[in-house]
Amino acid sequence: MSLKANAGLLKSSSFRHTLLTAFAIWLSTSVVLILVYFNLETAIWNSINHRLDEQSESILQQASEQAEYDAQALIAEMHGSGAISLQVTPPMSPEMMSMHNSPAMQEMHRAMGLASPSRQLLGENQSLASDRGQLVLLRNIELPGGETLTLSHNVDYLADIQNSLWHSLVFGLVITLLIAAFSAALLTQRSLRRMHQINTGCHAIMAGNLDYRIPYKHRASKFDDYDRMAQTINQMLDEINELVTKVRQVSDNIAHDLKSPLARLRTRLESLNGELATAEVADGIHELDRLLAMINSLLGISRLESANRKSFGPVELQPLLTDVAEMYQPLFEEKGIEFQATVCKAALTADKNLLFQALVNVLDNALKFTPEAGRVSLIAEQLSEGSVSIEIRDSGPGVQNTAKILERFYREDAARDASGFGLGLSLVQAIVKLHEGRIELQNDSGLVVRLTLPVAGGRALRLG
Amino acid sequence: MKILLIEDDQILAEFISKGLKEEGYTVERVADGRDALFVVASEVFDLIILDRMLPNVDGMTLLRTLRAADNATPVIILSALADVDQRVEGLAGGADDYLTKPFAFKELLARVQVLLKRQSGQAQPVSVLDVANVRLDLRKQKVWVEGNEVSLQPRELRLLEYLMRHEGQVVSRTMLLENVWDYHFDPQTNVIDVHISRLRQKLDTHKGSSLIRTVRGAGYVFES
Repeated sequence: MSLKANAGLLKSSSFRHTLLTAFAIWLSTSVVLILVYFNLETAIWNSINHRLDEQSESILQQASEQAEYDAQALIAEMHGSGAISLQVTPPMSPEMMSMHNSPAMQEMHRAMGLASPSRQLLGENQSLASDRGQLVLLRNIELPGGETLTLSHNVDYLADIQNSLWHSLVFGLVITLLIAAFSAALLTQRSLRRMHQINTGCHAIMAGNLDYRIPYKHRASKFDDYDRMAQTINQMLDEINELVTKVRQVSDNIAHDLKSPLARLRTRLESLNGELATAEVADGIHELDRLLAMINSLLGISRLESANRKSFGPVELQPLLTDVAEMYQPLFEEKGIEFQATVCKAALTADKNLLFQALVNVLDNALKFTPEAGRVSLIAEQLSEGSVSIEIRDSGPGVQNTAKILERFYREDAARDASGFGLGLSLVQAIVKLHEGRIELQNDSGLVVRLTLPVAGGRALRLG
Repeated sequence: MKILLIEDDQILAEFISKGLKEEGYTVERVADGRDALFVVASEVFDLIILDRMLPNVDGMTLLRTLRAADNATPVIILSALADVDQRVEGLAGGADDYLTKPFAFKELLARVQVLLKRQSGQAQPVSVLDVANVRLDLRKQKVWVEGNEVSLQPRELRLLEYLMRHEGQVVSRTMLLENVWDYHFDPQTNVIDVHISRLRQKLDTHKGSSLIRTVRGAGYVFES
């Protein structure tokens, strides 16, 4: 697994989900095991305590049965009964007992990695002590004769049991955790791969390859949910493809059926112009050409709206802007308008002809509406968010309705007498949308048209 | 010069053939794609004017068949399909030029003349163009008028080169746009006119006469 794949894995919600589930299962397992451990420990201590109880009871019974008893004899008699040893000791004072049972002492026992009984097992006559390196549980019993007999039960083995229990617990849980994380990664890897497959497919289709289909298993009996999703997406794509083809066909037919009679009309007018060349005939041809230009723009816009990005390729913005600026420079000069272009370097994925057309339309508007001795500027700059903005600013009258101006056929009253039919900016908008960019208009001592386009490899922008 | 016109629109075909005949060309007309295939296979033409939307066999199929059979006759596509990608498709299919309907006859004529001239084998590589008092050195990218060097912008140089290469022929505004600028777009203003007038100012030494003559309704011609 590469580093990049790992980063992708961590960002994947299904991986996080699987990991969380695995962790929850692991956590509950840990709780159960720890509970078992503590129960076991308590049970062991209780059984030791119980044995001490039994022993002391039988000693006391024997002592009370025999009026004359000998402590040493009792000890001898009891000897060899398991882990308990007896000895006659001067009575341990309660102070000493409590010292043995003090929290500090218990803490010491714990720190030594030794087992310690629960608090209620330690009391006035019972304590833990270290006897020649061995840990023992001591119980004092007072014989009827006033002597104190100390029963001591070796509990040193408990430390070993506890140690090995802890070890297997910790070791087991660590392994379980690793298995959980690993299997989460493994399980997610599979679903991530499928997701990735679907994502790449969608990108390929968005990039204009409408014939691309997402692969899935062909046996319906082996379908999982991803296969079903892929199948549904593919069916949807077939549907969209058919619609797009239909739209294109319709617009091709319109182009043909509408233009053919007009072409005939133009031919007739043109041959008439040869025979009797009057101003009317020339005007007729001119009017017809305007109508044709309008139909072409309209068809162009609707085709752009159903277009894919098949014609897209790498485009360097700087030479394109230089070319368009160089093309319009003399036109502005002719009208006495000061024109300045500031270009910047940027690599785009675009259709250079469409982009050029968009810029031409915006500059054309600026040229049309900027009064003589005005100023127009084109400023392109790279933005931090992986996009580039191209701003065309003029010193014309601006527009009254910046939202409506992008609509087809909308023309401001002030522009009624200017040539054009209100399609220029609609075409610009269609082109910019196809490039996943946005267009903004703004009045600022003239009109400011800002086109923002994503640079190659940058993410798509919100459509404006 | 023999031209084959493949066009199913009766009126348009008549108009085109009449116009071409007036210019001294021999014109043969076919209105059907399948018929056109037979005619092309049996006769030799200097140029073919081809509609894209034809009955029976469409224009693009016809063109591809032609090129697959190693027939190199220049072809101008004449079509109502005006999109850049449709145009690119047409040129990629082997067409030499692409003109969208409706068109001005003079535009078609200019293109026919340019293609026929190219066909008659004048396109040998040259490094110096010499027309009238203008000398253009393509390798050095320099221009002299009556021996004096004139400084031109790179685009102006290409414009001049195209005009000089087609000396004596009418070139239309769209032809200039397509060949001098590398972009396919619809200029909404007289972009070309302004650039031509700039070029004129730089080249013309004699007042009153210009090397670049405007042909009304058609375009420009560079002549001595």
